[in-house]
Amino acid sequence: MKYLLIIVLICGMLGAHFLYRNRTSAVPEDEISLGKTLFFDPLLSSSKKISCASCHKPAFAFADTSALSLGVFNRKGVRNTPSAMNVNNAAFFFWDGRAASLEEQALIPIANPDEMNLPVDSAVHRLQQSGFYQAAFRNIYKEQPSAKTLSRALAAFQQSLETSDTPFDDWKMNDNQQAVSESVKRGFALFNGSANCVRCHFGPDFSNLEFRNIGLFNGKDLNDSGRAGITKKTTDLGKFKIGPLRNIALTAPYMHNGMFKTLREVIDYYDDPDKIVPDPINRDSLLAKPLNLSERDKQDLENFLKSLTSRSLTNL
Amino acid sequence: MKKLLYGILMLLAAACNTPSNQETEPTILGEWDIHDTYEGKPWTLLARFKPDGTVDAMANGKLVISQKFAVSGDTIYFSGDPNCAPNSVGSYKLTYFGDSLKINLIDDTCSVRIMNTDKVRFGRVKK
Repeated sequence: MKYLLIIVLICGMLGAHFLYRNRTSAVPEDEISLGKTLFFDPLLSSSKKISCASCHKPAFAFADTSALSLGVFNRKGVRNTPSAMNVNNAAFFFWDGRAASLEEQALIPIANPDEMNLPVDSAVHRLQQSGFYQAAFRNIYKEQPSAKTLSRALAAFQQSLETSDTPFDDWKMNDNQQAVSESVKRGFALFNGSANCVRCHFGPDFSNLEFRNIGLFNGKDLNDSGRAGITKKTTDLGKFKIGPLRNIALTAPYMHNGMFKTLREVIDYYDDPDKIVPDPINRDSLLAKPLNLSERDKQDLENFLKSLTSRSLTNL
Repeated sequence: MKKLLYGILMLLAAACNTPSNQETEPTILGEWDIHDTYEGKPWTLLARFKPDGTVDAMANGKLVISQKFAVSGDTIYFSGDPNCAPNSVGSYKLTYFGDSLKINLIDDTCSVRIMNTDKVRFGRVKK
């Protein structure tokens, strides 16, 4: 019995030693690694079951596959989860642009009752109670965890999620004519030409710093006022942030409410918005007339959009 | 002797006609770049002017803009910038200095294009 007790004690000590050693060696040594650890850690939700990555799923370009994501206790969010990738050029965050920086954005879902439901002070307290995070924050920021450093780390991780390894990039950057099909090339020409997409989606991530009303607000079944909720201006009714198009093929469903399940549905909508939403309020004049795209045009546009998918994500 | 003289004359004429002795007109076609720093980090913009009249500008591994251009004499005309009004055309003067190129505003109503184009100095990318 005595021997058994000694063996159990030795095993326990060895186990604790290895556990501590492994935990210590895994302490992140830079902002991005720390941000990544935090991003995947359910410790930042009240139920300790939801992390940022629960809705921003890596395999789907850090977006969600549901129209509306489920937060703690299966509470449903009110808008579609956007991709957390390719955000370095963004001037605003969230569909209504309520946050002006990634750091500001990073803390809002933690405190949102429908998402992670944990007051930021409580989140910081939890991190301060964790020897692992204490060590990591002190190592990187030379101070204990705070709201400021928590947001900095999460922002740093998101800033690292840039992709420029798509077939489209290979075509344009390397002038590799074989990188994409002729259909993709035609789709890009349409995108820049008669389909008018480029009027809103341009620049390195095919986004824009503006908010536009694309006609998905009618004050009835489509009643999300969008940007107007922030600015309190009636001219902003139904306007939403113009999101980036990189990796768009992986981030279905689409739009602020996730009402379109496929890229083809999106293209069909832009081709003739009145067919889908005949009674929009404040719709942008760019969408005043049907585009009259042919079946081949639609396929070309879809293929162009698919060519914006990072090879690192298609290989997951 | 006559044949020798004729041969020398022919050789001289051929030599004068070889491309290496011709004064080559500078062309905007090909790749040009700008090296700069932004917020303390190196930053490079690559512009590829293509024979089909499109120019692609790329920075940090991504296409920034693809627009149309046309050259007439020392003037270049840009159009198709999504930052500008549809059908807006801006004209700029081209000045070549060996392997570099300076672009100066002649006439444009698009403030974003003016900001991105006026007084820009490119270097020819050597392959």
